[in-house]
Amino acid sequence: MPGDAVFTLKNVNKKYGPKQVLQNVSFDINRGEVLGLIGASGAGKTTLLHMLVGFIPSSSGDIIFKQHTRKGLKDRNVLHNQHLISKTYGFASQHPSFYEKLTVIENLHYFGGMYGQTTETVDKNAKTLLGLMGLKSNMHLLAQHLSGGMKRRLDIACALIHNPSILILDEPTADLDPVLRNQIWDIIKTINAKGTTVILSSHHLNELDTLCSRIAIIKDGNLVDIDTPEKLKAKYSSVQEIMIESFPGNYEKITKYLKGVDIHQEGTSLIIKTTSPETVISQVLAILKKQKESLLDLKLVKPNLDNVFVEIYGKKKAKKEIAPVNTEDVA
Amino acid sequence: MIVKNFKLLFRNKESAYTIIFGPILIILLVSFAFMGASDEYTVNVGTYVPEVTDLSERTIKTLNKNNYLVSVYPTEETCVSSVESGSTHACLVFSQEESGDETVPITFYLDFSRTNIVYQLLDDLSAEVDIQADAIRSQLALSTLQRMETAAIIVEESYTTAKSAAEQLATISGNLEAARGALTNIPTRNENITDLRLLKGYHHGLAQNAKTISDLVNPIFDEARAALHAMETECGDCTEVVLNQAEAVEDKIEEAETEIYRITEETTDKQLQEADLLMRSLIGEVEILESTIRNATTSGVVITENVDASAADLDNNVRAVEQVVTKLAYAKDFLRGDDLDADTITTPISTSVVSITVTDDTLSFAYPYLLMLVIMFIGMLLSSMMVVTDKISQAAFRNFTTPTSNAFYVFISFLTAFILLAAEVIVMLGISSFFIAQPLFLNPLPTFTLISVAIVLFTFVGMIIGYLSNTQEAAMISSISLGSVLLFVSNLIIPIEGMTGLVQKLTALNPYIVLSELLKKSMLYGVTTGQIVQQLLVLAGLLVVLLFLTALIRQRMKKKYFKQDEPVLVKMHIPAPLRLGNTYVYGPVDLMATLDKMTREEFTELVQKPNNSIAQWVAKELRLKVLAHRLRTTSKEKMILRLDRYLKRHGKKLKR
Repeated sequence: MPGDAVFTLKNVNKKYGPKQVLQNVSFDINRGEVLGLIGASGAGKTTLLHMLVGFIPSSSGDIIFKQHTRKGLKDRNVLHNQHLISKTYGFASQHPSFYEKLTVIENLHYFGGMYGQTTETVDKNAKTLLGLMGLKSNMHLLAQHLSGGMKRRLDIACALIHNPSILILDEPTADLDPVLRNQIWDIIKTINAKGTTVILSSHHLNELDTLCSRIAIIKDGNLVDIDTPEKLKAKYSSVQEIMIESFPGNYEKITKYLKGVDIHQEGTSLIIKTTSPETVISQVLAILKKQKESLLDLKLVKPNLDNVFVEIYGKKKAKKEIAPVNTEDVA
Repeated sequence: MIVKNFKLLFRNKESAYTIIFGPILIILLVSFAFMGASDEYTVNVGTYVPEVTDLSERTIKTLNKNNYLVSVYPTEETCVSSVESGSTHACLVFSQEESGDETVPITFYLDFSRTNIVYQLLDDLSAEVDIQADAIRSQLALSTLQRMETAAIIVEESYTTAKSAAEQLATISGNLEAARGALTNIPTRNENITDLRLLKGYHHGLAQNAKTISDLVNPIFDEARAALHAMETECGDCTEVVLNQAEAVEDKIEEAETEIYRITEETTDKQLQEADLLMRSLIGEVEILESTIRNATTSGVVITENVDASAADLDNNVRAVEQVVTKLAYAKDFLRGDDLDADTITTPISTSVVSITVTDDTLSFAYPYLLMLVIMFIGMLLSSMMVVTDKISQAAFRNFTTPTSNAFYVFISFLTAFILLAAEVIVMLGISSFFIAQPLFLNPLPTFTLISVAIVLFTFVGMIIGYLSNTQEAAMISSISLGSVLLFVSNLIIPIEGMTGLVQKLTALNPYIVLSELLKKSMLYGVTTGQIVQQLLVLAGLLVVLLFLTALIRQRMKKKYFKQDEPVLVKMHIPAPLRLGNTYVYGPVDLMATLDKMTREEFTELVQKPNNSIAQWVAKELRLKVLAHRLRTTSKEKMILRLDRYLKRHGKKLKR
């Protein structure tokens, strides 16, 4: 039921000593959506996720969990109803959390038992999850012998063993290669498709772009914005990047002609940033033709969440924090 | 590498504290425990004195004087029980039969399970008793010498008396010899007495003749007298005259008879002459006899006098001898005394040592302590390591986030450790039964109850250590440290009595001491569960407290676990970049490069504002107040120059 809030945050503040980690954060998390949290390291993403389920108390403000009961929807303060809501969510932290010396199936049985599941239910859920996570063939392998991607999948499986309606993932693809990351995203999509609300944080912003229903951007403890990826991109990054490579590569005329445009040379390529790419491309192509330059390559990089992040955090900071950006060929 | 190792070690505060301060703390605690202590332990001695004697009084007095705390118990049983309960170290039972100079038996009831003190205690008490024995020995020797002296005087006196009696007896002997001589001289026979027999024959002949005449005449006289009598009777008519005549006749007859009798008696002259001669001879003889008798009488007087004197001397001698006998008997009795023999003198006090334990096996004495020691260390190490391993494992996060309650999680963790430890203890008991005659099954219910309580208690203590530790090393060292402290301030290595007073009182709270003492009582004294039920209830209460404490600590650990990022977030300062036109500046290096490229117009527009945004940014975000102060200038060149100087001086510390 998209639009039906499952969590409501009202003016949530968190201070660690003199340090304000979160400041007046207010937003809703809707049932069935995939909400992505992005922000620099230390921005308060993990703190917010922990506060969301009551692991950490807020300094002020309320976090309300909206629980469906027989009598209808009931607001419950997560801080005071942890035991009640703990069965409704699964949490996978930045670092996989399971016993390395137990096998995959043993871990699932153990954590299923910790959630008060019967053996039959755990068996049933484990079977489904092992299939979903692609761990069936390795179910009797000790967890310590699993690969990084398998460990991450096992961790998510452990978080889902009690069949929760909410899945919270803190950096689920950290330290994974692109192939494994894609596997995880596919799994998350599958889980979400079954109606599970997914709340996640990640540094791979462009991957969140296609996965998340909404994205919340946190900077210095403040919720800068929360919206769909498209709206965010439109809001924060209208500049598109054109990359041109020609032979013999005399770009002086272009630089002189396109005065006032953000333009610079990187190696043998010319990078132009503009809000009107169509106009600029036609002008550039005309100059190249005039200069008898042979066009070798032309790429148009559309704005993505990285750009949004850069816009919000600053160029160099963003470079340091975000993962490499995939470019889209436009030529 | 060494520097790296030290850095890693000391940057983990817990490890650093445990490794450095753990041993120091142990040494401090142990030193504190034994500080001011000496080899002279304060020993509590119980005594049972059925009858107060000089010895018992003196012994108790000496013990008190020598820093023993002596308690007098009303019965032997209570005295022995005091040793079992540990309130006293030994019980001295004085025998009821002790009296006079006989060897006095004293029984020492000792707890031989306290191997580290019992022999010292035995030596000390024996030494104390030996002092009393020495005193008695001296007293007995002195008494014996006095007796001998007294006996010597008596014998000397008896000797004088006996010597005198001997002299007197010699005199008596002489007197008696003289009396015997005198008696020999008294005549016993005279030949002339035969003549007196002959005279008797003569006199007999005359008497016969006279009798013949008398016999002849007497009938005549009788007839005449009868006739006269008849006449007087029958003659009633007879006149007085007649009668008188008859009476006159009768008188005459009677005179005749008298005369005849006289004649008869006087016999013939010849015979009378012969008789006269014989009589004269007889008189002579009688005179001689009278003389002899006079002589004999003289001798008899002498003899009588001698005999009387001898009798008197003998009486004196008898008395003297009796006196000597009495004195010698007294001397004999005095010397012999009351069966005083060599053993009594050499060993006036006999001591016997009785163990209050049901076994005499030395190894068995130490067994309860060793068993409890193993349970303590394994219990704490196992549970603390188990908890800390779980706590620092990857799975900790998920364990903390599941809806399982703390109490339940703690209980399950405890149960795991308990099962493991119980299994280990069973194996240990099985193995040790091959080597030690441990009286485990003499009193199985309290023994196994106490073992179980110990496992539970030390498991909980270990769990608390585990929850308070952040590394396995810290948990291990903490467990070993705590175990060592509990061990050092126990009875196993050094007696508690050797510790200072305050520490001695604190040891009552040492669970290792409490449990090992109870286990010892159960295994060695055979106490029943009923006898230790009070202590068991206290321990059960302690276990409940520990359970809640462990759950509480886990709860706090859970909160702390999610706060572990706090210090990072508090300390972490990510400076916000400074935007100068289209360029973001992140540090002094960036700033100098940007300033260098900046045109004067741009500088004027972007920097030369009333508050100098560069200086403010450097102060607020970079937190470089000195640099910020230097950059408060309106000249671009000066700013670059100062930045350059600053970077040359501090450039290595700055990333950009």
